Amino acid sequence: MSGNSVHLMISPAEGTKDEELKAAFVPLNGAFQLHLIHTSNQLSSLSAGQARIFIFSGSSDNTTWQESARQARLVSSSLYFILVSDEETSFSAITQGADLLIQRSEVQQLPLIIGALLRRNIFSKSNNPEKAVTPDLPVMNKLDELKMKNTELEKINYELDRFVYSASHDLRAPLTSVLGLLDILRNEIPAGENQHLINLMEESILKLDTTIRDIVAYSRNNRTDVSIEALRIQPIVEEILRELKYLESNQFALVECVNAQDDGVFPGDKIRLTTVLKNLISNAIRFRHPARKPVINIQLHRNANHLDLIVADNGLGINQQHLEKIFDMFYRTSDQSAGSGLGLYIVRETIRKMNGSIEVQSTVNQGTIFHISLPLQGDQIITS
Amino acid sequence: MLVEDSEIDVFIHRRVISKSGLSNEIQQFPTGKLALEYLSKLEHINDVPALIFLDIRMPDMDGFEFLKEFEFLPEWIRKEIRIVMLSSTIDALELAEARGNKFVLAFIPKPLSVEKIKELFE
Repeated sequence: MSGNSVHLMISPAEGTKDEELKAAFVPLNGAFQLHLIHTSNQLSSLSAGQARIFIFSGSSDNTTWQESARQARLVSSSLYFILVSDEETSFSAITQGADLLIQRSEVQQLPLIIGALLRRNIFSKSNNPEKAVTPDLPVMNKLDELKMKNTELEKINYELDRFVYSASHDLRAPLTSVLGLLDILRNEIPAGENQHLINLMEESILKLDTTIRDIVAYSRNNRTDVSIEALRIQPIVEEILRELKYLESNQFALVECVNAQDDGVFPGDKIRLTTVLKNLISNAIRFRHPARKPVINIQLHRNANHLDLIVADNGLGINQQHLEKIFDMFYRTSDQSAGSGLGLYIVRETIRKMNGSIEVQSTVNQGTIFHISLPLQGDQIITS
Repeated sequence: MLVEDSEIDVFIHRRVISKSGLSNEIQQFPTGKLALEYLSKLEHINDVPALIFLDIRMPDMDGFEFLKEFEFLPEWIRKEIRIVMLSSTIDALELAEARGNKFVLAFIPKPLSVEKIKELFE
């Protein structure tokens, strides 16, 4: 064993076999000298030079880790104390004397972690500036690092999905209950002032619901891949209008679909396209001109390498000064605050996810035109 | 029959169903398991519910698990029953799974209303 090897003391948890521990550190032959500490006597019998890194996983004589750390530092003040525990937080561990906290599930990676720390010279304090890290220490290679990060990322993404799923369910369920009760109440009470109050309550709840839906849509857009299938615009729009009937006040809106293709079939991501159209149509209805019925014109043109989708309305229009900002998160124009402020932001993000682009033109009191461009991959319809 | 665990929603469903004139004999089970137990023990065809409003999210056995087990009920019972899934979910996958299930007549987003029931039978 080289004189440059690092002395590693391990206080194993009760029941851990010494052989198992030694086996875990075998890849590091020569780099570490292992000392297994079972009792505090063994600890005090070590010399300062031998006490560099202390890994505390448990004790056989009920010594607390705090006590063990204290004793170990008496032997060597520059000791690096690693605590293996699932019962502490990093904050409580470090403030009580540990240098690093590791979960029990990470124990397998200890050799790699120590190797990484040594490369950064964490352990050599001012007393040993020349004792450089030995080159034959195990280095977490790029592949391992990537694998580890990938697993972590997958875990985080999975948890995010579950969180959004749970949140949307647990937030929406009480909402739909209240909406149901309001509906019953509205039919039971005589017409008059109280009906108005109920309508206001319903409006508030629907607004809250819109925000929840938008958050779920946003999360979904981020997290799922684009999936292309053969689509027709008419049924998509009909489905949207059916759903909007429940959400918006029942203002009749005329939606014309003009498809410049013979068979009207085009490749696209159904859910994302629906999200985009639903937001644009519901905005067109919400910001209708008070003096006329809302008319929404949807055109689809298929070119050699892209799809043009144009959504035009005859509503209130958008002031030039707002035009740039309407796609921003939570941006709302003046007092028309029925939405969540996320709608157009989600539209733009969704289109981006499909590698497309969106532009808007508008004239106040005349109407607004949204021009969406989506790339096509030749004539191929790719189903996933 | 209502397979639903939320007391408030049960209250709403009952009100709406009786208002729509659909039925006055409404049974309720808070989990899929209890509903299946009841159904599997039926002996007379007149006792079989004509319509089941099935919630998705319930403890112990949810709506989809109920549908899986439903397949194993005797044919003579299954023949009489129409299942409507009723839920507050907006999850695209759940919606697709509900609409695509061979035993499900329709999916209705909560809250249940007289209009939605009327639409069901058009």
